[in-house]
Amino acid sequence: MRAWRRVVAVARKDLLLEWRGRDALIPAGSFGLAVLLVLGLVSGGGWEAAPPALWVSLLLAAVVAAGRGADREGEEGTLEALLLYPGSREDLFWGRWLAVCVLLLLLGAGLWGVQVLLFNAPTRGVGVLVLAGLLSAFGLAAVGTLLAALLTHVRAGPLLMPLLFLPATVPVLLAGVRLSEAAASGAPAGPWWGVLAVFDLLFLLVGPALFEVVVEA
Amino acid sequence: MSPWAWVLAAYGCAALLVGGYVWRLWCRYRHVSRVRLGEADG
Amino acid sequence: MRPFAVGATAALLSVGLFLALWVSPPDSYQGEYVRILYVHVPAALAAYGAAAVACGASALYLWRRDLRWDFVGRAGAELAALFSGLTLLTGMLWGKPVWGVWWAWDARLVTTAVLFLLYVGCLLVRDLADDPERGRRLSAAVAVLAFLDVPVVHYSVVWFRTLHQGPSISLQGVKLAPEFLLPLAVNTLAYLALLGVLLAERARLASLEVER
Repeated sequence: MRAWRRVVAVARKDLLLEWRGRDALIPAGSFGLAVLLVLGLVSGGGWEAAPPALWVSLLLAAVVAAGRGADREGEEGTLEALLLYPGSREDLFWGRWLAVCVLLLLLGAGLWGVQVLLFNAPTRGVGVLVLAGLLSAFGLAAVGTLLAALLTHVRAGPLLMPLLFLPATVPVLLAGVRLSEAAASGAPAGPWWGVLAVFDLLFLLVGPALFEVVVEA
Repeated sequence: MSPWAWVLAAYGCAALLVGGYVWRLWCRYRHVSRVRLGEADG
Repeated sequence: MRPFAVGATAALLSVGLFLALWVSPPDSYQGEYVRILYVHVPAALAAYGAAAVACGASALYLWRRDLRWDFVGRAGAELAALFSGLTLLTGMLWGKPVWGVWWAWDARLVTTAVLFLLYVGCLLVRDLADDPERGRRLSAAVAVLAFLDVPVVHYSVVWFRTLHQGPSISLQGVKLAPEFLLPLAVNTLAYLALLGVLLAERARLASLEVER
């Protein structure tokens, strides 16, 4: 099998499991909603509070979604089974990554919609938001996939997930907030596309390399 | 609070943290060498 | 070599302490509080040095699988957490009297806090892993990831603060005169020497514990 077909097969398997069980998307989505609600409540729910609330809830939901992936590995040993198949481990990373990307984009779209309703946020600049969402999903999915594999064989792994994930993804949070604000006001985006691009490049290069040593038997 | 109290607090923090780390290293070091000596005797 | 290194470091630290607490004049703007900077700045440099050592040694361990690199990597991770913690504490003790706040969302402070959290995570991963070999591999991966991430975090925080609201209060406004540079240089040298000695001793201890 060629590399990309293996990638697609792994992604398809992950998404199929998710579709049947919905045990990452539903918990992560409802958690994101709860965070959005709480942040809206304490911030008074003005539209200028919307971008930080959106991105904080998305990041926290991503922690839950990626942590669920680690749980599934631990309970069912799916990663061990996949590692027995021939082929490069990098393909496994990219398959996983693709599946997490899809989940994150769904979460982001859902949370964005709710945020518009709850915060009465303007819906201008959707193109900017879509691009920002895509770029941040690429980076977040790379970090999430790597950390989920890393924490599978660590006691209290899901508890360590936020400790490592949130500080590491600070650049995505900051870039996302500023790009959302730029989209709403039509202001220039400044260096934030560059920040997202550098973050993505870094983790898309380092992620697969570290993934290989992390999943070694 | 007098300025020197702040300064001494900062140096105290440094002494406590670094000193505590060195102390821990020293204890573990002694433990390891004691066990090795014990093995040599037995 | 070993007694010499320890002795020289102790001597440097004592000279540094003497220069910092006795010789250095109070600053015209910060007053006596300038003396806190003689711990704060060297500790910050030592923290970043330790993180760089941890990253380099961890990468070499992952490449060569030589246990000695793991000992150095572990020592670097512990010392990065220790010195970044010290940097945060002394930064707060300086900030409260001089800035009037314990904490400012200054890029350097936030970056150091991120460094601290990531290296604490790195140490936790090592201790909580299922078996020691896996712990070495996983924490090495975290050490590499953390160090590469830190520059991106730093610049994103710089831009987040400066491009939106006026530049936050920073050390840059405070110019250091020569009489402050000497104690700072000696203390920096002393802390880097301390870092080197602690790295070597910690790595040695780890190798002794494994031999046992």
